Amino acid sequence: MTTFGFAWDWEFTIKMFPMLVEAAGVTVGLTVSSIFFGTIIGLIVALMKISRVSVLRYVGAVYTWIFRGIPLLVQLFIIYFGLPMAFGINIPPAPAAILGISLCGGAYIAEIIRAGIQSVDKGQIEAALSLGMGYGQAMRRVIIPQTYRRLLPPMGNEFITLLKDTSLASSITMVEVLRTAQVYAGSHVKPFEMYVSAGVIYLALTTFFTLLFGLLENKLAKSQ
Amino acid sequence: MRGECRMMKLRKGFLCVLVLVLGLSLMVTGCSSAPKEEATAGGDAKEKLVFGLDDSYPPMGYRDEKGEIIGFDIDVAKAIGEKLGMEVEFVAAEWSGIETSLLTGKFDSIISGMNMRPERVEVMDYVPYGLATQVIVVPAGSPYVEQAQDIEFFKDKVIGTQINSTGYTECAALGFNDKNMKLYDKFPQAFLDLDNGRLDAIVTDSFTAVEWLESGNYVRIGADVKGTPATGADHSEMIGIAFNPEDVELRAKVQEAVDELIDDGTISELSKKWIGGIDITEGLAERQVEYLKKFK
Repeated sequence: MTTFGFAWDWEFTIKMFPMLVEAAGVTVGLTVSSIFFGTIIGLIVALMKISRVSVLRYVGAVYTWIFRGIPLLVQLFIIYFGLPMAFGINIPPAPAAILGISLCGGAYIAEIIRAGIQSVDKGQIEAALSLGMGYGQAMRRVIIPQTYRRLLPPMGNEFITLLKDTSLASSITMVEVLRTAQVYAGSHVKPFEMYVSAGVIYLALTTFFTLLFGLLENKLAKSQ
Repeated sequence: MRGECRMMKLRKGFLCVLVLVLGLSLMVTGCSSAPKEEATAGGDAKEKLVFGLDDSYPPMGYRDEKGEIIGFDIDVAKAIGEKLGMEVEFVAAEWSGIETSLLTGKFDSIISGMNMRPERVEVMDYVPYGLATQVIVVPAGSPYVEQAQDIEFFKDKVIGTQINSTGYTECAALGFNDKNMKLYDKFPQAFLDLDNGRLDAIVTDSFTAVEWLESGNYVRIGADVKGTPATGADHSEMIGIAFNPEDVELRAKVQEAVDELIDDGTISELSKKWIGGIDITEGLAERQVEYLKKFK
C-alpha cells in the first residue's frame, strides 16, 4: 500500500498548525462556557435530588436519566437540526453547542455535586439548623464551602471530558480543532499529519488543564 | 464466611467470562457487520469489486425507503460489474476521509460523483465517466433568484456546502471562509439548514442539484461558481471512478468497461434516467483525452 512510502510532510504541518492553534481558542471557549453553565445546571439539579420535596427529587432524577442516557451527538442534532423544524427555534451553532454540552455536562456535574454534599457529615446540617440558620443559609455558609476541595478532582475530570466532547460540535458546523483538521485532511489528502496535529493540540490542552487543576487542589489543600 | 468468599470468587469468574464473551462477540460482529451490501446475486466463485461511496448523495448513491442503496453511480457500478463478470459490493464511507479509506485498502474503488480535483488526481488514478460543474442553489421564492448574478453576491451572506467537496475548494479559493461558508458532513444537513433559514445558498455539483431542484423548493441562480452561465447540462470538470494508483490492472479493466458502456449509450441512458434528463457523458470524449494520456 502507499503507506509504505509514507513521509511526514513537515512543510504542510508547519503551514497548517497555526490554524489548529487558532481553532483551539474555539475549543477552549466552548469548554469554559459549557462547564460554567453546566455547573449552574448541575448545582440546581443536585439540590433537587437531595431535596425533601419528592416532586423536585423526581424532576432531578428524570433530568439525569435523560441527559446522561442519550448520546451527546444525538442531543446536539436534536437541538441544532430538530428544534428549528419542529418549533421554529433557530439556534446558531455556537449557542447550540454550548447548550447541548452544558445540558449533558450538567447531568454529570449534578452527580458530582450531590456526592460532594452527601459526603459532608449529616451532623453539620443538623447543627447549622439548630443554630437557627435556614436550609438555604446552612447550605450556602456551611455545607457547600466544605465540598469545594472534594469537588475539585472530579470537576477537573469533568472539565477534561467536556473539552474532548466539544469535538462533537464539529458535526453541527462549529469550526473547532477537529473540524479544522477534517477540512484540511480532506482537501489536501493529508489525514495523518492533520489528525495527529489535532491530537497533539488536544493533548496539550488537556495536559495544561490537568496541571492547572492539580495546582488549584494543592492550594486549597494548604488553605484548609 | 468461607462459603461467601467462594461465591464471590465464582461470581467474579462468571463476570470475567461474560465480559470476555461479550467483547469477543462484539469484535466478531463488528468485523462482519460493516455496512456492506451485495448488489448482484453473483456466483460464489466470482471475484469481488468493492466500491466506497457517500450513501446520502442523491441522485448518485442514496438509500430508498427500504434502506436499499440506489442511484446513478450504483447502476453504473453494477453495469461495470456485469461487463467484467465481477460481483459488486458497496461500502458507505465518511466523505471527509474517503480518499484515505481507498488508499488504505478499505475498498477497491470510489464511485460517488467524485470531482477529479488536482490534489486528488495527484494521489489517485481515475476512470472519468462524466462532466459536472459547481452550481448555486437558493430557496424558491427567495429575492436572490433575481438579485444574484454570481457567487460574489453571497460574500456578505452565508453559503453552505459539504466538507471536502469541490464546492468547498472552489469557494475557498474565491475567498470564502468560516464567516460566510458553513460546512456539513452531508448535503441533506445543508439543505435542512437552508430550510431553517440559517443559510442563504448552497453550492453543490450540477448533477446532485437536479435532485433537489425537482422538489420545487429550490432554484438555481443564473451562473455557476466559476462564473460561466448555468445551463441545463453543465460541462466543466470531470468526475471519475477512483483507484489506488497501485491497482494499475484493475483501473485498466474498468476503463475498458466504461469505454464500452459509454459507446453503447448505457451510461448516457442511466444519466438521463437518474439526473433529470441530462447526459453527463456529453463532451467527455474530448475532455478526457489529456488526462488519459498518462495511462498510455
